[in-house]
Amino acid sequence: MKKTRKRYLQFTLHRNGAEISEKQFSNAIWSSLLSLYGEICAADSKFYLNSYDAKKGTGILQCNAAALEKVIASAVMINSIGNTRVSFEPMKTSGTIRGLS
Amino acid sequence: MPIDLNVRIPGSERLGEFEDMAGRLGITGIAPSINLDEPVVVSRKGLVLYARAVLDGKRIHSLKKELGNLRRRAVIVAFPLAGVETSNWAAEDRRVDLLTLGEDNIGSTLKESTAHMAEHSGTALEIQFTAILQSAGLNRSRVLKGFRESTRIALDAGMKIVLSSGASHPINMRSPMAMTYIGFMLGMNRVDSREAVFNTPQRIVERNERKLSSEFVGPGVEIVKRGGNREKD
Repeated sequence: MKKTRKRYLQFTLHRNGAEISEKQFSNAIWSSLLSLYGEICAADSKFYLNSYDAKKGTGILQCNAAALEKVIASAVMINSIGNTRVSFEPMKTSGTIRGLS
Repeated sequence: MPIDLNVRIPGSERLGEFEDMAGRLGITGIAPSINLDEPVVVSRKGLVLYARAVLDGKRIHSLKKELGNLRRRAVIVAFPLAGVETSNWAAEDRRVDLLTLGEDNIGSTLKESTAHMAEHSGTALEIQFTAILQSAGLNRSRVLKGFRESTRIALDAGMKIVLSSGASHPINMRSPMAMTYIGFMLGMNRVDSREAVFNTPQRIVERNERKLSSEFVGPGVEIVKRGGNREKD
């Protein structure tokens, strides 16, 4: 089986209200990805939230290289999580976590 | 220098919130909906504000009159896509900078003939993505359909595209990098998308600032040096 290439993305989640937990944020990206691109794309994306600082709103996510654009577009499209309005900002992408530092 | 050419600030007292958000996102200029004293104003926080006017007449006669009044006062003149006749008029007129698609005219799409006219006159298609952010499910699908179709028609005709937020709340603004991914979602490639976010808005603003300066006489004619009235001996 051919190994899929991963991509890592460093991001900032700007918010206007209460803190967003890791679980809430991860679920919001999954729902947005599912709604915009469908179940197969969501399954193939291999999206995973590597690290997330709820206080600062910064973190790193990983996904399949082929699905990177769709994962980012889905995250950018998130308008609110719970009662908190948010704005997702992709900062830097890399093939390795070390490349982000 | 990324510029958001459409920010719908509800009142001048809330300008500070939008300035802060633009600063956090790395946006250097915005074209707000509020009235400005001058066509170009630099705010205390260093953000450049460009006066934007939206043509809201329903008939060509009233639109022409409105355009004549607004052109010297605004850096950006936009016309929301509507009927074929008025859209074609706006597309042909070089004084109109943007044909707009957004929350207020979701059902409208860009016609091929309009796109070709706009390409000749240098008018760009403006897509306000707040309409996508604020809809969900089938409604969002309809919005995306209209936007993607218009994007394809504009690109096929060689018309320029501008991505703007149309945000009425600071949190609805997106960073320039995030906007390029919205461009991908609308069917643009990497080059077109970056062009729509970084270069085209900048070029429109620069062109119009030049036109609004006192040195500008007409297209291709500018005063480069003023001579005195000294007589030869």
